[in-house]
Parts: sequence; structure tokens; C-alpha cells
Amino acid sequence: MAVEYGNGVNMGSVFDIKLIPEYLVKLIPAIPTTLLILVSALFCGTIIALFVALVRLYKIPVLNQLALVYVSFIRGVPTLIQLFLVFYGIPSVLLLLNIDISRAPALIFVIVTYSLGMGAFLSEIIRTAVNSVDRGQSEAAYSVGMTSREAFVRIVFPQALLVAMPNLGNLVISSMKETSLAFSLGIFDLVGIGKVIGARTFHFLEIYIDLAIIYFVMCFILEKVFTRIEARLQSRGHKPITNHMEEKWA
Amino acid sequence: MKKLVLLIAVILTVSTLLASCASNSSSTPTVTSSVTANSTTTTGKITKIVVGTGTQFPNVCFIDANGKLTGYDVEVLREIGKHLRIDVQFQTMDFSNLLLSLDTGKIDVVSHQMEKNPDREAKYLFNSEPYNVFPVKVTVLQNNTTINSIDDLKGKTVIVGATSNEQYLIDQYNAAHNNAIKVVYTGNGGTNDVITQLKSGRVDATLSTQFAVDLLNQAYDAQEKTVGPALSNSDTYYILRKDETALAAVLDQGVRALEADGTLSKLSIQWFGQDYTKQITK
Repeated sequence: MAVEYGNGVNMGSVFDIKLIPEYLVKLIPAIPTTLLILVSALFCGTIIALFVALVRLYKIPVLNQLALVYVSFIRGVPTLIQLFLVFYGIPSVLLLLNIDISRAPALIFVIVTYSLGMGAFLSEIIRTAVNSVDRGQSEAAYSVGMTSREAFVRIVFPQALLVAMPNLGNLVISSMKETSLAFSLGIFDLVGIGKVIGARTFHFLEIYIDLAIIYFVMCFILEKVFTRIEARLQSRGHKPITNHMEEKWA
Repeated sequence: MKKLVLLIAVILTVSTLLASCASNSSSTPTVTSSVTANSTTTTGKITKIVVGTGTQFPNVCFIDANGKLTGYDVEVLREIGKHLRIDVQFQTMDFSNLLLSLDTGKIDVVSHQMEKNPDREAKYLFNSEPYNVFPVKVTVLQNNTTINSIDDLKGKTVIVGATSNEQYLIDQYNAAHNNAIKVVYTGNGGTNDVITQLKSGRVDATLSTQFAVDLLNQAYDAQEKTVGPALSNSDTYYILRKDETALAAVLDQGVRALEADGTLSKLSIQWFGQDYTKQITK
């Protein structure tokens, strides 16, 4: 006897609105995977970004050029291509050095790719935010007797953070949506589970509607979180003294 | 300020922990990838293989309602593994990435109703024993009366899977007939809703095989039919890297064993509704 597939109800391509809540429930278990990729990429990306930003800010000779190439590459190559290059290309290169990682879990490659991507964009955000704080601020800090570390942590960083917040929020939210490419490497994130259910039931439209709802809700929550953070930073009086003194700040 | 940084750090740590805990116990399908390559014992006997397959082909390789990878191709290999005491592990990916993953050593065998064609034979190794038949025919909607063979596709749009044998067949036809057929693709970057595209008229035809058409009609009201003669030699094989002759021999042994004790026929009836293995040309 042929195998029973789907739920036997209203099969085929006819749109069925009742399936939207039903598939929504089936898609929710995939959210932790998406979040895992995002948070890991954020964490590793921040470490990379801090290093790259420092290199760029202090213009360390050789590393500065390398950092420029790295950031350019990430900005110039589509994320999907980056995923394939990391997943297939890096093991092939390492094989030449007799290191065989071709059987490592795909999730590692996905997180590496997104970390590199985040790192590049974050480093630019950090660099421009720190640069935008008026030099006079650090000079004033030195004149009051602070060490350069104190000056950075207590004076420059808080102001830079407020400048960076909108961009940071943008980056995190768009990275959340970018994780949807992970299925190309076989990771069962939201889009992955969605396509799998689609292959089984052929109700693709209902699934894509569900995915839109889930991603929108998650991004909306992130938006609200970042707005709150920005508001609290501003209300604490960290009005940054930036290089371009405008009449009204934001 | 300090409290804010602390709060963010706590949120990030907690969500990472939650996410990793959740993903460990989540209902993701039971597919694993191993870190060691195709392992052989010191006597050269193969003990573990990693098979690459897809998740988008109903009843051939797909993930069922319980999150388990199953289907004809998957179950045949599981049976072969049981017979020959080999640990068969599956790695799923988009169909168009299968051969690339084979090239780069991520998988040892490709199993996805793969057919022979000269391009593939030049680059890869096929095992000798076919495990199913897949006669490819032009496939249109049942109410279509104008298309009855591949020649009627001139000037029409056909949808095929990227890197599939169907794509190869259409490309061969186009090379000989001045690119008469317009081709669109499914898979990575495309959509898999061939049925909707046919019904909406976005495409005029696809290439498929009778058992797939039958199951789609029965389960999904696809309203498809095949027309014209079979366009290619019809058996399906496993694809391996050129140097894996030992593994190919092992797979042949397994297929023969399943044919001998009737398991292959049983699986064909279970997944396709009838025993197509009887039509395998030897």
C-alpha cells in the first residue's frame, strides 16, 4: 500500500487557510536553531570586529591592508556564495595541508561564515562610531588625568555606543533574516523545516506565509529591544559630542 | 551603564544556552554527519559510509511527519546496511549540491534516483546494479492536448531540476535544435512547486517519470500525465567518486542481496505503489 503523506486533508495546491496555524506550530521548533546561528555569529563576530576595528583605528601597517581586503570581500560577495566558499572551498584548501575537515558538521561552517560576515560589518560600525566622537573629548579626558584606557572606557565608548546603536540594530535584524540561507548547507533552520514540510505536503504558500509571520515577529521584538536600549542610553545623558556639531541631536 | 552591559551580556549568554539546549533536544530529523571519512578497518572492509540525498522528493527521499528521513532511496540503503553490517549515515542537502559534496569528500555515495549520462560517466563512478527504473518522459497537465513529444516543446517553457539528468536531456536537445526550448530550474534559488507552476501556466511542461506522476496525482491532485516515449535509458544507480571501486562492489552486493530475497520489490511496492524493479534492464 502506498505511504500516507501529508495530513490527508485538502491535499494538493489549493490554498487552505486552516493550514497556516497548523504549520506555524510545526515551524516553531526550528526557531532555536535560527537563534543559535544568530547569537553564535554575533558573539564570534564581535570578537573578530573588535580586533579588526582596533587594527583599522590604529592603522597597524600590514594588518590594516589585510583588514581592508577582508571587509571589502565580505561586502562584495553575496552571502550565499560566501557560504559555499567556506563550506566547500576551505576544506579543499586545508586538504592541501593534509588537514581533513570535510566531514565536520555543516553548522560549524554556517556559523563561521556568518561570524565573518558580521565581523566585517561590525568592525565598520565600531570604527566609524569611535571616529565620530570628537577628539576633544579624549583630549579633555587626558587633561583631567585619565589614562588612555580610562578615557576610552568612560568617555569615548559610551558616546560611541549611542552613535553605533541604530546601525547595530540594523545589522542584528538583517542578520536574523540572512540566517535563512543556512538551508543551502543542509541546516534545518526555519526555512529548512519549511521547505521540508513543503516537499511533503506541497502547501508551499501557507508555509511561506507562516515563515513571514515568524521572521517578522522576531525582527519586531529585536527592533523594540534596540529602541529601548537607545532610549535608555540617551536618557542617561550620554549625548555624544560628535565631530559635526549639529543644532539638534537625532 | 554597567548594568546595561551586564544585562545585555546576561541576555546573550542565556539565549545561547537556551538555544543550544533546545537545538540538542529539538525535533530535527535524525540525520547526522560524521567527522571521520569513509572508514575501513585494517583488513580493508568498509564499515561506515556517508550517503548524500535530498529532502524534496516525496516517497524517494523526504522527511515524514515525525521528522524522520525516509523514502525508497533511504530505506533501500538502510536495508543494504543491515544486510552487510555497514553503518549507513545520511547527509541531506539540496539536490544540486549532491555531486559537489561528493567531489569534495563530504559524502561517499549519492543516492537520489540518479541516472547515467555521458557527462556524469566521464567524471564519476556508477555502481553496476541498478536499484530502480526511471524512464524519463515529457510531463504535462492532463488537459494539455498540444504537447505529445519532446519536439512539441519547441518554443515552450520547461522546468527541470538544476544538475539533474532531465536538465542534461533538455540541454542535449537544445544543443541539437538551436536552443528551441526555454528552460527554468527548480532547486537552490528556484522553487520546488512544479505542480503550481504547471497549473498556473508559468511553465508548459516538465520531465518526469511515471511512478512520480502517479504518486503526485494521487496524493496532491497534480493532474499530470506523461506523453511520448522514454527519453533516456532508464535505470537508476548510485554515484561514487572514480576511485571508489571497492565501495561500488559492496553496494552491488547489497542490491543483489535485496533483489534475491524480495526486499527490493517489497520496498518498491511500499513506496511507489507497484513493483517497478521488475522493469530493471540488466
